[in-house]
Order: sequence, then C-alpha cells, then structure tokens
Amino acid sequence: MHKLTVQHVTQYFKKREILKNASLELKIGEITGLFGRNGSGKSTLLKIIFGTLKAQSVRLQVDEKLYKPNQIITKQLVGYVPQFSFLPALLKVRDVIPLFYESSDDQDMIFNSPKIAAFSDQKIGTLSIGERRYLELLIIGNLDHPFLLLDEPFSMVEPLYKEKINEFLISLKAKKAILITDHYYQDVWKISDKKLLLQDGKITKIIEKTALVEAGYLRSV
Amino acid sequence: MWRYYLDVTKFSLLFSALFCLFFASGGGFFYALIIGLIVFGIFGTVIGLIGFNYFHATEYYTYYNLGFTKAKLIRTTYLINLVLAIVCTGLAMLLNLIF
Repeated sequence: MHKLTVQHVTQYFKKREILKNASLELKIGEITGLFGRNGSGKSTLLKIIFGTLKAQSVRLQVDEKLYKPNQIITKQLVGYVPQFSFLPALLKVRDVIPLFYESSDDQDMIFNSPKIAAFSDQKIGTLSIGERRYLELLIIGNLDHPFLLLDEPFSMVEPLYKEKINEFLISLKAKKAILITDHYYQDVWKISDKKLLLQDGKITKIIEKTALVEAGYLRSV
Repeated sequence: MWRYYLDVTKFSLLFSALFCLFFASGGGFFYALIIGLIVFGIFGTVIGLIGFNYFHATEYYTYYNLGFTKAKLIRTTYLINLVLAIVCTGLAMLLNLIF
C-alpha cells in the first residue's frame, strides 16, 4: 500500500460550492502541506477523505483498489486528528492509552515517548494544548493506518511541543503518508515535502511561497 | 468500544432508574422494576445516545480512529442493552414466581 488518490471531490453547502472537482494524491514517505484561507474547505476535505462527511462526489483509491467513503474507517486506512479535542476528557492519560493499544509493548511505546511520563497521571481535560496535541498525535500516529490526516496540529502549541511534533512526524514519514493543514503556515511549509493550495474549490501544487501571496493567503513572504 | 458502551449506558441507567422510582412511588416494586427494565431495553439507549452526543460528541473520533463507525457503535450498544433487558426481565419474573 503506497498511494492514496482522492479525485473528483465536489461539495456544496447550501448553494455555495466549497470543493469543485478537487483532487490530490498522498504517497507513503511524503508529508503534504495543504494551505488555504479560512472557509476554503480544508477541514471539509479532510472529513470527506476520512469518511465522516458525505460529499456530493468523491473517488477514493488506494493503489489500484477503489474504496467507498464508508470503508475508510472500517478498513482503518486513514488516521485523523481533528482540530478539536477528541480524547475522553475525564480519563487520565494512563487510562486513555490502553483504549487504543491492547499489548503492553505498544502501550509502553507511548508511555516511554519523550515527555509523556511527566503528565501520565493527569486527566486529558487538564493538559495544556501542547501536551494534548502531542499526545493525540503520538496515539493516532502510532496506529497502523498507512495514511494520516492532521487538522491544525501546530495551532496554539508552545514551541517546545512543536519541536517534538516535528520530530515525531518526520519519524513517521518512512511508513506513512501524511496530510497536514494549519494556519501556522511556516511550520507546515518547513516540514512538508509537497505543498498544495486550496483556492476557489480547487487544489493546485505550489513550489514557492509567493504563490501564497498571489492567492491572497499571505500579504508578503 | 466498551468505554463507549459504558458512557452511553450510564445515561440509560439513570433515565430507567428515574422511571423505576416514579412507578415504585405509586406502589409495587416488582412492576416498577419490570417497567424500568422495559424502558431501559427499548428507550434507554436512545436517551443514552442523546446524553453522549451532548456531553461527549467529539469522542466519536476516538472510536472512528479505532475502526468503529457511529452506526456500528450504536447498533452494538442497542443490541447489548436490549438483550440485557430481556434477560433481566425474565430473571425478575422467574424470581417473582419462586418467591
């Protein structure tokens, strides 16, 4: 399994066409950064790929095999870290990890990751944004999904944890394809191998930061 | 999956217990218990889902990442509670006959 191809994504909200036949490709070994202004449809696209939002049209293909959107979750093809907190807020970190990992070796891998021991006795709801985002990424990133979608993993995260998140994502690249979207564009730009711009419902590949200025996403580089 | 089941069922049990107490206050513990069990089996999961959606809606993404769809979670929870209610109702009726 090496490549996720997403094609012909069209989505309307009321009469507004958010995505117009948008397409992208994720390859294992690559981190793809998706840029776009607020409301351009980035999170919508991620939810459509993950299968939690029904699109007017979408074609999902992993290597040569086609999948229906409702098979993405059941086949565990894609991991998704949404922009909001999704771990049970009332549980302690040490009780959340076994929800995701049955074997003690796998649990230890998370427990023994840098910085986790420092807050493993805290409840999820009391963690700082940086601690929570880092934990969410570690938990979901280490699951077996070959493709990983990250919605705003750097937002509001303190520099120390950004560094850890960067290191972790780079370490995941060898076995996963990762799609990141975040308004902290410099963090995404730095880490991504391929850059995409979502504008007017369409996705285009960009090479230079000036394309973000031309698209009205940035004032200047 | 069991975490989801427990989170939904705590609301179901609370709702059914309140129903049970309401009928028990009118006299007849046995009939109140049976009504509570029937309410738990048929409507309890629906109330539990409303509670879960209100207090824990974002946690669905925990289960999605583990391969469970919302439909599968709801279906499994409903079936377990329905079977549990039937078994407990049968047991209660049997005990009532014996004692």
